[in-house]
Amino acid sequence: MSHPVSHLRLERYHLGELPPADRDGVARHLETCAECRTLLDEIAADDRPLPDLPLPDLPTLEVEPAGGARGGVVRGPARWWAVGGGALLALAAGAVLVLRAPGPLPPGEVAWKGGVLAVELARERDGQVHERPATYRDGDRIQVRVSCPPGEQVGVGVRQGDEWSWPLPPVACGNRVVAGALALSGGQQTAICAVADPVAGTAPPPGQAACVVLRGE
Amino acid sequence: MELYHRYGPALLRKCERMLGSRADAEDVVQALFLDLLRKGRTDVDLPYLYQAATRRSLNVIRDGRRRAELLSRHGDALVPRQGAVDERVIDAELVRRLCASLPEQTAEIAVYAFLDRMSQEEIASLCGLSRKTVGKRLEQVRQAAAGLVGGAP
Repeated sequence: MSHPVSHLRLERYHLGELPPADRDGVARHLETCAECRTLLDEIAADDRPLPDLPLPDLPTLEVEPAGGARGGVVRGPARWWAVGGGALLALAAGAVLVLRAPGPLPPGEVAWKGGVLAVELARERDGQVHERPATYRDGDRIQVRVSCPPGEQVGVGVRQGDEWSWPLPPVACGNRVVAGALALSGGQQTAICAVADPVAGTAPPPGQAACVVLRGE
Repeated sequence: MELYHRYGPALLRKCERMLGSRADAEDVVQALFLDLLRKGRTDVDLPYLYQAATRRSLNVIRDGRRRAELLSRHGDALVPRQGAVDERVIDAELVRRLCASLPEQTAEIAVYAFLDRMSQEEIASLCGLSRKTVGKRLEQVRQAAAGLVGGAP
């Protein structure tokens, strides 16, 4: 390898992402090229902090504690419903549905249709993003990402106490698909779930919901 | 976002090399990852992101107002140099000046060759071009550089 190693290949070498043959070639080159070794050392020594990445400006739905507006859980899906037309109005009707589903919550990942149904959260607070949070407080925005077998569709259910709501439209499955964002309030324990084949009026059966629980701070 | 934490530092170094400013690099990289988040894209690797960051940084350089800021900030380096133009004098400042006037793809190739130290084969692979095409574009870059610095190519 007579050409200097490019910055991109050095970065990939540093990350351990080069294919084996390429990696070995770079390693041999580094033995004889002081300039490339210096660049690699600079990459390894660069510990400048990564600036916080704000969540994108997704439509945000507000979720209130049980006993709030509409006798339940969901309030004010303003932007979604304002622009969505008939299909979203139908979803809005589903949004006030309250389901009874006592019992333990399923984990954040369950097997489903030969693949995995999973939900993942990110919390934005004061411009800072925290991946996979365990807690929330009023004003936080919670981004919901779901993973599930392609070709399927899942709903996003929110459980506070024994009450369920469906604040976000169903989403087509994929790998870590952004389902939307929620604004939580009330401070009570809240479970956010990806639900397979959600049926109005029916609590998600075992094995068909993957949930992450947030505690109020 | 795991992708951001894994690849963000490499992209920041790359954009800073192009723009000469850590703050501008942060703007470009943040905008890039926010777009990925909006689209729910997680199936991307570093070469893809490198190319995307290059194009976004070129847009910054081409933007008239931002370009004026960059040139003002690095004004000392813009005094025309005399003599032959080769890869040793096509530095970051000269590439920035060239990128403002070169065709889009040629500017991108110039960045890969003179700032990112890529071989013609590596550029061809990244851009989906033949090595011969890359060679021709780099010759255009050298001629443009010669015009800027007043030397023979």
